[in-house]
Amino acid sequence: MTRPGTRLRSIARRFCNRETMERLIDPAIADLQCEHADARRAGARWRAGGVLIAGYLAVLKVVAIGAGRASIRDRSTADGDAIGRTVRFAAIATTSFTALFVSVPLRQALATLHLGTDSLIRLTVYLVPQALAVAVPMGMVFGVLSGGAPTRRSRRTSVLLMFGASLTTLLLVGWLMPEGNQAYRETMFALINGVEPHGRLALGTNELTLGGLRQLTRDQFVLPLIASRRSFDFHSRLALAFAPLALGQFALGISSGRRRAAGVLTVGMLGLAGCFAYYLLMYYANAAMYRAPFAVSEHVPPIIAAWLPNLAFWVSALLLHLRTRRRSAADPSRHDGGPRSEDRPAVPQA
Amino acid sequence: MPARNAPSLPPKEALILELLVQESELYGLQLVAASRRKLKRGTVYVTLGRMEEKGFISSRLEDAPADQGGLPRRIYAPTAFGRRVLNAYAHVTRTLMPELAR
Repeated sequence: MTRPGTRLRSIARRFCNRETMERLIDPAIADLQCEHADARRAGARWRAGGVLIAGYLAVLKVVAIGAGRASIRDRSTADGDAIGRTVRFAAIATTSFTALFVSVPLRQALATLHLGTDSLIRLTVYLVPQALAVAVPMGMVFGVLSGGAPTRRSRRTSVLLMFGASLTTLLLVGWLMPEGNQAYRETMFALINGVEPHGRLALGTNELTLGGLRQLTRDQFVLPLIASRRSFDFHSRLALAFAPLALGQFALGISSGRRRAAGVLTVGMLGLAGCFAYYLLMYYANAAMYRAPFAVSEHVPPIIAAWLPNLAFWVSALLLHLRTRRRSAADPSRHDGGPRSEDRPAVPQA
Repeated sequence: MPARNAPSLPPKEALILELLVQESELYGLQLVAASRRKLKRGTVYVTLGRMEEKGFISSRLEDAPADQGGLPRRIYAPTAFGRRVLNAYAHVTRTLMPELAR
């Protein structure tokens, strides 16, 4: 039987350095194992269960504190602050793009309407989710390109960040953006017509939540083209949620091949090129499916077309990764894995 | 010679030092039990690690019983410096705040 805390310890080793493991995590787990063994030996099964729960919670807290404190501090040094730079640049890029994407429709509204401060604030708030839904994936590209990935550990942390960004984008495109879009439309309706709309305005595709879009795909349509279109809309929305993961992996593939972090100009160029390529793939996948001269929706499943940009970027990322591995194997001095001894602390497993 | 800051002794660290001076050697979990819920098992190891960095306490690994196995346990003891800091802290507390002195 595995001793309590063994799995948690192996997880903690991924995030914490050797010193943190020896000083914080291991003592907590050793005490947990000892207390649990005492309770079992005494035949107190319920107490042993209680000890286990309390112990696990305590160890989790220690892991969180340890990972957040010493490990990140040491990791920053070992990885040349790669993760810190990734997070900083991603945050800066996301904020900048959000401001840009909010400002465009707001300027249009300001040009045609006389908006009070209250209306301006409300419209801004309603526009933020849709702006963020596009800005977060873009920010991820710029962040990863800026931070680089000098070690295996920093690459793993970057991938975790991408997962976090994807979950955030899923929340945005799935629920917050449709609500924001609808609120924006209704506010604009009231501002333009001088009266509040009677009830809710009819929802367009962009105002439907993921659940609503999913429901549409289940409806029966006479025309197969409409059924295909609904399915494409649903899968496109879902695919966009995973854009940070696809774009981020691609950026990681580029960064892994570099010994040093890229300069601002290179990051800007590569980042914009990557985002533009993603947008083009999205646009042309849509166009190829439903517009002349191709209009291949009868022959291509909508799910393939909707996920095409992500698939293309994942394949590119894989090729870049393989190229880096091949180069590293050919020239060990190019080994980009950073200080491996720090990647895997040599603490004996229990 | 580099200037060193005067060591600070927050209440939790003072409590740990007091317990260790009384018992001479304790495990983290024993400290939690002896503190009567003033110390939490989720944070005691972090505090102990910090105190070790400050030089107030030292620790050594003690192998788990052979029949039980598992990770070696870490046992903590006060250093001479830690004892001096605790004495100074108790003295200052008694002098400045006699109502709080134990």
